[in-house]
Amino acid sequence: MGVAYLLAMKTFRGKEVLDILFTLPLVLPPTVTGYYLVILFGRNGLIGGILYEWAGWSIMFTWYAAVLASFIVALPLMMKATRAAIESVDRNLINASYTLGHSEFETAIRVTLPLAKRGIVAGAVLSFARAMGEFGATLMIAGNIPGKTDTMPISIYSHASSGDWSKANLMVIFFSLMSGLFLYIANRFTRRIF
Amino acid sequence: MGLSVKLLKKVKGFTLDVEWQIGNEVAVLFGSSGAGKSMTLQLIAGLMEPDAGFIRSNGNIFFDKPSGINISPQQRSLGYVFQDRNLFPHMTVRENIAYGLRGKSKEERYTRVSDMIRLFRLEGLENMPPSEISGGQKQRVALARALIERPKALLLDEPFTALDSSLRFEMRRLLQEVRNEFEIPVILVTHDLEDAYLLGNHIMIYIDGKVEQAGERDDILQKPQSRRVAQILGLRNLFRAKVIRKDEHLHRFILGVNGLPFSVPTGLYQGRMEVGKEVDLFIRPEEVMILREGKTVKDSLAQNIFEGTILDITDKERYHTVYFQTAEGKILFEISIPNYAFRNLNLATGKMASIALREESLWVMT
Repeated sequence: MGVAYLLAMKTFRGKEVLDILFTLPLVLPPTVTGYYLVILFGRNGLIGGILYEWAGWSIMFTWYAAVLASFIVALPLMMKATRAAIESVDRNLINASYTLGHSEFETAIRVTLPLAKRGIVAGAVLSFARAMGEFGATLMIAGNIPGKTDTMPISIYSHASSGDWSKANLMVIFFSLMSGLFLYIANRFTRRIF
Repeated sequence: MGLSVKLLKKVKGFTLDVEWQIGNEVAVLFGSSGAGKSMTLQLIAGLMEPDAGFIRSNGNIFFDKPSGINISPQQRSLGYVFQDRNLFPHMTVRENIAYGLRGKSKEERYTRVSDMIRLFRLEGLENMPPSEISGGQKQRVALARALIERPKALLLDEPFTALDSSLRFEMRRLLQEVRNEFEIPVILVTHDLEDAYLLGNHIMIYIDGKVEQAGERDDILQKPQSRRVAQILGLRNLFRAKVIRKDEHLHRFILGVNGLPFSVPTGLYQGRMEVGKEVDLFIRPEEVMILREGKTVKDSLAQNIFEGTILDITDKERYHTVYFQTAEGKILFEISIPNYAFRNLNLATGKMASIALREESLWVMT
């Protein structure tokens, strides 16, 4: 949200680069995103290496990794929605708050974010749905360890490929219903922006 | 005392370059849109930074390029009311007004807000959201919110433009009250001549990012500096003229409009006029006299008497407007006559008549 606020309200050098960096996971194939994550968080990775040296622990093939992958992949949706929501807040209102003596932080808390709330919530719901459906990047970094790192989309893949159709069907129906519900909620929030 | 600014700001294809000062009075920035009026307010409020210049208000320096001072908009404590979309839609009327306060105990906040609600006659609307009150009420809330911390100056950006005419009348009266209650400079941006005329003691005419003319209201209306000012003010009886000759003996310039000679005293225009120069001639509609038949005229009028026909007469409630065309030159005059004088004159459409122009009332823009 902080990044989205910066992107929406400020002009600075490298702003577009930052925006592209945070949007990349949206357009990259999930396996590429997953590959980057492995490079960054793997035992010999930039961040993973330091972590392994300090704590003797690696995020690879744990359920934390699944969460991380889902988070990174869902981030662009959240950020884009939040940035758009903040940008849609009337500049006059923000200026009015400044001239009334309220700092930028106070204005963000009391005016900008409350007025952008609906867009932000809609973005959160959408990105949550996206995170639930995350497949490729998760598979790359967390693997497919039954009962440990097999997220629902991954186990649907496993069941289908091993011919266990009844389990796969059940999960697919459940997943479709859940996603439909999320979209409905997200739509309701975006539609009623005043 | 008051507010004094010198501002230079360049943005894509537009340059604002103004310098002026005002006292604790209502000053009107008048001009067509895109002339830099709103930008001036934003610069004063600190929402934009000038490229050069200074902004000083009652001894406080808000901005000074040479010494690098640039106070944040929060610290300038100015009231700023926009044309529209002023109020926070997620807050009630009371919350909106209270948002203008800083710090203070809960009790003090409550009484201060209640005082403003009374002053701006908003009783009964305290708990309504802005979407449920009228346009005039919204602007009253915006004014109350801007004034509750007793700002050092009030900036109004076309505050009445979105209102219909009966509300505008009410808002103008309210603004007069505000001016009496809070002794601060008020800067009103408008492109509405009536607003400018009724509210401003001091008017600054903005044209293309510059102050074309500034001064007391009546001065500007009687003596516009250029044709552009006269046109932007919507002034009537504006004629292109040419200096035909100088009458050294009578100390007069003779100007020709469509071949009709007008005489003006040389004194006022010394050094600014020569024979052959193109100038603009202006006379206020209420300064044109219609002569009663058979009446002899004073010397001061004898120079500029013209005969012609009355084309049309309209009743404007407190006065009549007579459209008169000279027989020679076919020059159209708009003439305003108070009702009592109109009745004595016995005028009718199509009738012949004579008009006389006092030399002192003729204004030449060189």
